Formats: sequence, C-alpha cells, structure tokens
Amino acid sequence: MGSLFKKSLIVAATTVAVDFAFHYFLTRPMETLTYFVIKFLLAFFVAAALFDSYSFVKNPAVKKYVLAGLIFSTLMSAYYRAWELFEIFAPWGSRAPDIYGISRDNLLFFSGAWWLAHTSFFVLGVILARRWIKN
Amino acid sequence: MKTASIIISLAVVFGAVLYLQNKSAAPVLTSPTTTAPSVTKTPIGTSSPTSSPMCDFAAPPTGCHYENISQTPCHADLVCIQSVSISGFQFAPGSMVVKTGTKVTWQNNDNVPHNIVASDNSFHSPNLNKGDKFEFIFTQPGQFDYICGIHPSMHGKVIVR
Repeated sequence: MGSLFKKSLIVAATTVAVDFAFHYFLTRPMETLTYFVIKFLLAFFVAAALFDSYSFVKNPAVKKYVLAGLIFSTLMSAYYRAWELFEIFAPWGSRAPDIYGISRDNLLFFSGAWWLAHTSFFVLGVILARRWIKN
Repeated sequence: MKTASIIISLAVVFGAVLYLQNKSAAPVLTSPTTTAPSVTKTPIGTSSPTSSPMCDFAAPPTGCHYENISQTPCHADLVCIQSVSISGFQFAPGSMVVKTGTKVTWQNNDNVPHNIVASDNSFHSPNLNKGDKFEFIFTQPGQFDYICGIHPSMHGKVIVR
C-alpha cells in the first residue's frame, strides 16, 4: 500500500470519525450512513489530490491544508444543495441539521459554522496523516 | 497534469456516487393511489361524539377524535383521526397503532420543511412548511414505516389493525 493511499485513508477516516462525533453530540437529527460514506469518499479523493500535487510535495504549507479543506467543504455543500434542488425539490439549505446553540435564522453564522467544522476536520486529518506517515 | 487527472477522476467518481445514491436511497416522488391524502393549512374541525343525539356511540378508541360529526351523525360515516406532530426533527408519537379506516394527520411544527414518505411508497406528502398538514387514510391493515424524505434519519411507524 503506497504512502499516498495510506495518508488519504487517514484523512478520510479522521474526517468522518470527528464529523460523526460532531453530529452525534452537537447536531440533530443524526445524519445517515449514506452521508458518511459520501463524505469518506470525498475526503479521500481530495486528500489524494492534495498529497499528489507537486506544489504541496515541494512546499507543504498550512495554507494549502486549509485550501484543500475548503475545497472539500465546498464540494460536500454542493452535493447537498444539488440533492435538495434536483432530487427532493426542497428549499435551499433545508437538509442541514440544526446545530445546538446556533440558530439557523442567522444564515451567515449557521453556514459558516458548517464550513468551519468540515474544513477543520479535514485539516486535522491532514496533520495526523503527515505526522504518522513520514514520506 | 497528474493533479488535473486526479481532479477529473474525483469528479467522475463523485458524480457516479451521486447518481447511485439518488437512484437507490432517495424517495420517489409519486402520487398516492388507493386513498386520497391531502395537505391543508387550516385546522381540522373536531367535536365530541357525545354531542350528537342521533347516534348511540360506543366509547371512542383512545386517541381518536372525529370530524364532520354535525354533518354526518352516524357511526358509519365517522372517520377516526389520529395526529402526529413533527417537532424538533422528530415524529411524535413515533409509533402508533390504529384501526383500519383511521385518518392520520401530520402537522409540521418545525421551522424547517419536512415531508412524509412511506417506505413502500404507499403515500408521499409534498414538502410541508411550518403549520402545514398532510393527511392519509389507512384502508389496509399492516405496518407502514415512513421517513422524512428531506431528513432521512427521522423515522415513524403506523401499525394498522
């Protein structure tokens, strides 16, 4: 198993594990198995693209972690907005669970919290992967 | 170049997953067939069965109330109604046992839209905003599991005897 595969796997597993805990303790309703599977696959491929990119290998700066995390978060959001609009015909953003303590009426704060959470879970995964797999 | 090919692969795989997930897991938008469900924004009128002098009522089933009693004060014309509230991303009660012919109404009390989708597609509501109601008459015995199609981890069950 190549190091790129191992590192991507660590990122995907970390992202999903932390996200599962986040959903379990801080949001309602709980998300579905499909959601976590899609998140795992997406994190895996975004991480693979990150670790395989020449510029990251040459200079693995933290801002590149964050950029990859934002791309991951954006793609995940795009998937759910597309699902709402074209599959279930539900209003924009209605799929997102409630976060305890954050009102969904404050759209900027609410959606910002989701982006920050998803991005930080991914970045944590990248940090762990780089620490555990050296080459 | 290598990165570009990975990104393209990512897009293809993601699209395939999206397609498969939508095909298998998401509810199908179909119109109900056997009974006539309806959505209303006005409250259903209720009254006590004992208000009619023309009928000799037995004790009503627990949890039942009746509609249209003033227009049709006879046993055979009455429809038992049971209510389910959607609140806090939960169906309450989450499970209920009713008799055949019972009309079940769901009312969304959440600020986010919900809908009602039977696992066997026997009934399917449109999206319900806050205050909207959906009703369905269960004419066949059996167990009817349902979910909110927008939030699929919300489950409910109606057992018809």
